[in-house]
Amino acid sequence: MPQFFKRKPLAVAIFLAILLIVLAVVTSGQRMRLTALEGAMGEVVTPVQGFMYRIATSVSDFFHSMEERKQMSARYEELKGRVAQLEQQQLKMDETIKENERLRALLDFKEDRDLFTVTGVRVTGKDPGNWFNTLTIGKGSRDGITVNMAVVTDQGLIGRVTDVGSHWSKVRTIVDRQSSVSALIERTRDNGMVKGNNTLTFEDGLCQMINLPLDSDVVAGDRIITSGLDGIFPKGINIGEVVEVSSERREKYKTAIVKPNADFLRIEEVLVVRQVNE
Amino acid sequence: MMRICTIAAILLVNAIVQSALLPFLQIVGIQPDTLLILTACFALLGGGNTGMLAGFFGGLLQDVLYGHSIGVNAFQYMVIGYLIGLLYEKVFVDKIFVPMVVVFLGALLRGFMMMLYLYFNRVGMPFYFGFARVIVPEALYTSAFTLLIFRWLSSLYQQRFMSRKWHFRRI
Repeated sequence: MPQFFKRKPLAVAIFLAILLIVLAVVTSGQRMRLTALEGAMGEVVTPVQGFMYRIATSVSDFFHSMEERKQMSARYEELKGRVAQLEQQQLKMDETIKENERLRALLDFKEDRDLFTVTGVRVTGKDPGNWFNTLTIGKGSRDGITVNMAVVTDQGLIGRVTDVGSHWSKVRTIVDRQSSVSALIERTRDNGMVKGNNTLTFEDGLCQMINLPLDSDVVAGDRIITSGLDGIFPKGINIGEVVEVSSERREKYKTAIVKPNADFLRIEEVLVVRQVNE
Repeated sequence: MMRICTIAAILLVNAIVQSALLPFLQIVGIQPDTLLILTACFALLGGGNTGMLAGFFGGLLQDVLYGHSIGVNAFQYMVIGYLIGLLYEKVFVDKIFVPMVVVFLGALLRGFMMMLYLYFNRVGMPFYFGFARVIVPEALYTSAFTLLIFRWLSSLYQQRFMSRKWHFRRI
């Protein structure tokens, strides 16, 4: 083989190229488990990668927080006002919840969907290219993670699990071009699809909400949550906020640009959740 | 043997650095493609076979760790490694702008291959959009990054164990 390789590099190149194309086609569908070899490679690399990623996030956080400190006192005043406002709202909401409970009991309405946290897990790395937006996380099938589980942070939806090794998994974020999530606008209850669009603007991480009805009165600032219609993401997870609405006359639908709540560059820990259906 | 181990170690370290550190060096949402730089440098300094295999294994590592279907990156980097290897000992690499231009063209080629892949996967991305927002910025940034990496690799190639011809010098 080495001799042959030296004499006929083109032949070897063509052979490898065909092999890779076949491999790409074979592995392009959805797979429940990674092959042993793939799994093993991840096992070796993920811990080191996770360590480096942690160092990098803390350095980046340091600079980020320096910037934030400058605006702190103005922010403090603003937040004080906001707390007072929220406390009032909270009171009102407590009332509403109680009322809701009473009415529910009256109707004998069953609470059918509940989030169930499978596990909390550290992010170990980001996809190195500029074309996709995927993450690797440091837990896998041994910890109960399976394909298509939703990944969230306290800020909102991150994405879903696409491949699982025994101690690591890959996550496709909602800003990835190949991602789509059924969503609805919290205020107007319009249904649509949130598609990833990681190159929509210069900044990483904006999505597009498509297929909104033309008569929808969605405006900038509206909150977007998951609708649960796709059967993958549980209903009611926070996705983000509308920043811009566009409706071209020749199109049949409205499109909204959505800014996700989560900061995709500085994610450190995520929760993997699944829906509990009774 | 030493040569192969060195190259393998560089590729492995690169895979980790690229996903854990480089996202924090993003400019306008774009990060440099260091694997492309390594593939190009190995092809220019060590010949087409080295470049091709470095691209193959480096790309495969990316596919396994981050990609979804295995072989997409490996194919692209291998082709680029092979093509750049055709220039081996035909261009004068002591002037740093030569590898920079080669890397720039390699990054453009990879961008086009990626657009093609996305197209066949029915991921719609308008051509001008991908070209202006990803391909060109990425090629520029990657080409600038070559400055750092090429110097270091060419001094590595001054070491005796990296020379491919060492076994001809026996006794």
